[in-house]
Amino acid sequence: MLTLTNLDALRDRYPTTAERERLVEYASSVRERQIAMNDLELMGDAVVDDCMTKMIEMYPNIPRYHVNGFDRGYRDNRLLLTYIAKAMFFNDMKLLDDQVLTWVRTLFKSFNFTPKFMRDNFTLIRESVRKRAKPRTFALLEPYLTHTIDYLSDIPEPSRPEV
Amino acid sequence: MTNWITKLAHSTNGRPLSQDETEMLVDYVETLPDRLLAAKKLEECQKWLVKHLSDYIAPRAIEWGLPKDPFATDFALCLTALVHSMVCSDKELLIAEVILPFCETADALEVPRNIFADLFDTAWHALCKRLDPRSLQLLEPSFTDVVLGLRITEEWSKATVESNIANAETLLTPMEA
Repeated sequence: MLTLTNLDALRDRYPTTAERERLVEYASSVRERQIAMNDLELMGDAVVDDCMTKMIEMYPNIPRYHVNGFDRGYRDNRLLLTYIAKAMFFNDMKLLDDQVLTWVRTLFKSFNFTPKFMRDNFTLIRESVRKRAKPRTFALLEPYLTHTIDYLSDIPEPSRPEV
Repeated sequence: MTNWITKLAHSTNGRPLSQDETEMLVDYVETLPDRLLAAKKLEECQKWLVKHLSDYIAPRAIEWGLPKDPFATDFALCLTALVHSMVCSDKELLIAEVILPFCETADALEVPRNIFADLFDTAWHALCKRLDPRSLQLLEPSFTDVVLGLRITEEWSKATVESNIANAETLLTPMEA
């Protein structure tokens, strides 16, 4: 699929009608995407606070298994929000997968996190954004937040869960 | 070679895009519909352009040492690379994917580069009769840069071309935002 980040596919051909229409539609939303990206950056710390407050209640044993587990949770969730905002701005889900989700999922699997743990964490992130963001901002971000939940919770149940 | 948008999208390494980067991208994206329309218009008149260039090349082919056919077709197809740089608004692409390859082709065919410059000039003037003003406005810097790029680099060698194009950067028309 042709997006803003892979226009080099047009090196030796012209865009198809469908590609052109999709990019024109994207162009019409780019100002709103810019606003939504800025909004998410501004509310990012509060969103992660909302999420982590609940995760600490739900998973109090995390520090037993993972040194500085909650601190790293703050850091990783905040980093993911920046990537989510950028992918939404570029209207490019593959950018999100390629730049962060693929390797982060591998990392989280190696920590013996459970699918439920992952789903809980990123659902809390999405619900906090829903609560804090303007409706249009949330509408633009929602597909990326939901994709993150689905992608990162798509891991096998570990034989020895560490959550 | 990778265009500036893709480079920017992949280069931030987890930091948010800066305000300047975002503004630059938004300003560019808002011109994208016109750029895509210009590409479509050029594609639509490609067959006509091939015919026009064939008619132009035919009486000059022997003198220039160019194959008569399918040179015009190949030349018109090469315009996709020029259009690609216009769509991306990226002069580096234009240098890497149009100007330098044409210098190399001219050398391989032992044809003076001015002939290729003339062909681009001829194609441009032909397109002026067929395309709308906005498409021409967007394509003009690319055609100008190719013609200048090919004319500036006199005694061809890869080193002198790169050096001359680097020096020519300030002489050439800046790509429109």
